Amino acid sequence: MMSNNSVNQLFCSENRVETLKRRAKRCRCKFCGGKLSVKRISLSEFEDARIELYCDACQQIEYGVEPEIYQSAENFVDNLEFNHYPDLDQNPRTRRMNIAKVCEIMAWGFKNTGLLTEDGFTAPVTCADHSLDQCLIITEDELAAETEA
Amino acid sequence: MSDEVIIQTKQLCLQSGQRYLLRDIDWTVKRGEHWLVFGMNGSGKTTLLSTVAGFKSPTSGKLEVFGQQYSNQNILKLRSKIGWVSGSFFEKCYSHESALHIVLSGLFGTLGIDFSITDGQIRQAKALLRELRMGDKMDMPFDFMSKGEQQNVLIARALIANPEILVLDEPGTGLDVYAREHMMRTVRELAEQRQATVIYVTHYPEEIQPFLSRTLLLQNGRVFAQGSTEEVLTAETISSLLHEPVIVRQDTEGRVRMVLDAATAVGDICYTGREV
Repeated sequence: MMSNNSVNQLFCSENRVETLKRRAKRCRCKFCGGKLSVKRISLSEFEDARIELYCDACQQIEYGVEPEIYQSAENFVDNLEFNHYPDLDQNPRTRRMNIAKVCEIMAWGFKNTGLLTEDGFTAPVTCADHSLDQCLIITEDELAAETEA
Repeated sequence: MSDEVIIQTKQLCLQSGQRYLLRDIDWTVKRGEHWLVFGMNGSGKTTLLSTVAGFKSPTSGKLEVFGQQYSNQNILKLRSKIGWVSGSFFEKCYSHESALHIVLSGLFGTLGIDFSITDGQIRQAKALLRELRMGDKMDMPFDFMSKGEQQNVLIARALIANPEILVLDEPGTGLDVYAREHMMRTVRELAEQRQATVIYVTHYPEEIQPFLSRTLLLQNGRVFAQGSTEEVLTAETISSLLHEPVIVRQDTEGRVRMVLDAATAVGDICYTGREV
């Protein structure tokens, strides 16, 4: 059961729509990594009650994650073959669901260590670009130059 | 039962174009009362309840919930006090969202989630889903689930915020025998033990439990009758509502049975002469 204090914080903290707008600018869908938009979902005449963050590509309500978290999660799933859904067929949708699950776990960890707030990371974050895991194309000239050096 | 009025509508109307979906609804619900809302398809039940739950706005008339009219300042707080289960409404809003996400959204009176979710709330959502036999479906998208599973997710969503008003719009639809009995028991316990006010919409007379002591009958968006269930659910009133002769009686457990000779009214209720 929530205390009265936390209930008040929940509903009276700030204009919810402004928070969602900031989040739409900064965050990415945790399923596909795409941009989020602020969208009218229900028919209520009150803005706070009818607006949600939405991923147009996935066509779903989606609160989003920091782009750095999505990037790391995507690498984790693709390069380390993480699979949270062994009972489901492996296809692009389950890949997205796996990335979303890793995003949730990472966001939970960052939030609990105080590194992540509603306004983003509290410290500068540098993401490894994982170039070692990716195909590197070197021309013959570049290879020759490397060898000579 | 208290005398505190927690839902009040006066001359409530909702129009879509020129058509009235609700017209001149006068309805008062006191804390601790348990209402049955009964009517045929298209009578305005879901529209009325989605308006009361703050998901639609009336075109005219007065609507007060917990003594307040909805405003941008209070709507999320008021909505979080109302647990609303409506498959026909939420299937238009949710598609790929996970069961856990949907249940947690019930805490905020929104359809999405919020950054402030605590570990305790996540544990509570998972416990509710396990209780409703959805423990292995927590991460499943809404559209991967059967109708009954979706209904269970919405019931968990409604219960997570310990609602003061529980609005159930045809909650038995799509549930198997076990799930429906479990749902009905859960609702009864909520009504009796937690003193939540229950508003229950159903097409199925066997779901009309004795604790639903008040009844609102709707027809074509208007109030057809309202009052104590005993006075309203009579053969005369129901026959008049359905335009067909109906026999109404209670079984040994106090549940309502209706016998309808509907050979000429199949188009209205898809039913032909058996007990419902």
